[in-house]
Amino acid sequence: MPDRIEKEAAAWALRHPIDPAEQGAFDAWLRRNPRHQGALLRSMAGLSVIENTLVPEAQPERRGQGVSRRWLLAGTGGAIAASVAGVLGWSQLTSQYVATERGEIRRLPLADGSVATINTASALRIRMASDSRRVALEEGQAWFQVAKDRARPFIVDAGIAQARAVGTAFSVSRGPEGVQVAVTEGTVAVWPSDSSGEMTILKAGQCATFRPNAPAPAVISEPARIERALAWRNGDIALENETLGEAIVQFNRYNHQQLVLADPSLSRERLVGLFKLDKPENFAAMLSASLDVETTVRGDEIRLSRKKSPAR
Amino acid sequence: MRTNRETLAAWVGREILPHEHDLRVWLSRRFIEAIEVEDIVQECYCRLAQLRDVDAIDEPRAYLFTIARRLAVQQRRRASVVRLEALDSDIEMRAWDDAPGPDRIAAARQELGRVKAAMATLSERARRIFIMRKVEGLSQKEIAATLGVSEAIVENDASRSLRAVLKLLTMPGDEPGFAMREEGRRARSH
Repeated sequence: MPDRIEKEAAAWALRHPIDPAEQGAFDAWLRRNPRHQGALLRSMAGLSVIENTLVPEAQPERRGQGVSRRWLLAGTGGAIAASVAGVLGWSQLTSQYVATERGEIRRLPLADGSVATINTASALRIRMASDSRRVALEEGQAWFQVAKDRARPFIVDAGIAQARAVGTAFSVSRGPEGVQVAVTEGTVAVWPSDSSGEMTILKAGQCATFRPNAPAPAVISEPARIERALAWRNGDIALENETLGEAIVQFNRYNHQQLVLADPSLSRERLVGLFKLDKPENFAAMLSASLDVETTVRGDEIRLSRKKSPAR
Repeated sequence: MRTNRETLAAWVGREILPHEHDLRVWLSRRFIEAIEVEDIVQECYCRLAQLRDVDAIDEPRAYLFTIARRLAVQQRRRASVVRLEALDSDIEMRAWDDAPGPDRIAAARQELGRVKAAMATLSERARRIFIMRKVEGLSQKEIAATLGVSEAIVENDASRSLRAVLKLLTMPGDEPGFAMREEGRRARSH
C-alpha cells in the first residue's frame, strides 16, 4: 500500500467517529481517490482487531467456530487490565472506612464529587489518590454515581472481581455467592481479579455476575429489573412477581424486627408492589389483607401463617 | 452508535484481515509481481467497502480469494506480455478453501501467532490509547488530555502502532516455519 494513502487512512480510521467539524474534509478525502475507501476499511478493520484483542466484547460471536475466532483467543484482556491497574499505583492520599448498620442506607458524597449510596450491612474502604479513585467493597452493596475525571479512573475492588469506570453510575454487590455489577448509566469495564480472566464491557442496563472459580461473568441485559433491584436507594423494595420468600429475605436484611414464615407453603406466593423497606409491619398488614395471611407480633418477630379456613 | 462503516470494519477485521497474509502468499506464488499483488489487495478492500450486507457471505476466505483471483485474471488480460504461468489455478484454489485440513490448521496457528507477535510490539502508551478509545470511548483530544501529552503525539503513536500491527498481520515476512514449508513445496515440485 502506498505509504501516503496508508498513513492518511490510519489517521482517518483513528478519528472515527468523525467529528461533525471534520466531516467535510473526510468526505473530500474519500472522493479524491477511489482507493481511499478500501484503505480506510483495511485500517479500521486493523483497529478493530487491536481493540477487540485488548478488550474483547462481552457478546458472543454470531455463529460457528471459524478460524478467525481464534484471533480473539489471543486476548490478553485480563493481563492488560491487571497491568493498567498496576501502573495506576496505590498512593494513599486519603483513606476512609465506612460501614453501615443493618437497616441503614447511607448516601455518602466523596471528595471528588462522586456519591456512594451504601446499602444495609455493607463495608467499604475509599482511597482517593492523584492518579486513581479506589473503593474496596468488603461486603454488602453500594451504588456509585461517579463524577467525570478522566485522569483518575474509579475502580471498585470487590474481591473476586473488579470494575472500572470514568464517569458513570453502577452498583456493585458482594456476597458469599459472588459479585454482581449492574450499570445504570454509561459504560463500565469489569474483570475477574484472577489475572487469567478477560475484561468485559458493560453498558447501561447490563448486569454481570461473577461466581467464585468461574472464568467469566454471566451477563444479562435487563434494564427494568436492574432499576427495580436498586429501589433500596430510596428506601423502597419493588416487587414484580418476586416470591414472598425472596421479599422476606430482603426485609430481614434491613430490620431488627424479622418476618418469619410459620407456614412454608406461603413462601412461593408471588407479589407485586412497592413497599417501604423499614416498615415490615406495613408489608405484613398488606399481606393479611390480600393473601389470607394472619400476622402475630412477638417481640422482634412478625409471624406469618395462613388463616384457618374462615367459616364464612 | 456504530456506523455501518464501523460494523463492516469489525466484520472485515474478524473475517477478512486474518486471510490477507495467505492471499498475498498465494498471489506471489502465482508469479504475480509485488506491485501487482499490492494493487490487487487494495482493490479487494475497495470492493469490500461497497458491501452493504455481509450476512450473505458464508465463506469470507473463499470470497476474498475469489475476488482476488478475478482481479488477477483481469490484470493479466490487460498486460501486454503473456506469461507462461497461466492463472488457471482452480485446483490450488480448492486446496486453500478446504477446511480444516492440516494446512488450514497450521495456517490458523500462524494467524494466532501473528496476532500475538504483533500485539507484543505495542508500547505501553499505545496500549493505553487503544484501551481508552474502546473502553471509555474517548476522542484523541480527550486521550491526549488524560495522558498529558499533545494530540499530535497521541495520533502519531496510535497511527504508527496501527500500521505496524497491520504490517505484521498481513505481510509475508520472515517467519521461519513458513519459509520451511515453502522450501518443502518447491523441493517436491522439482
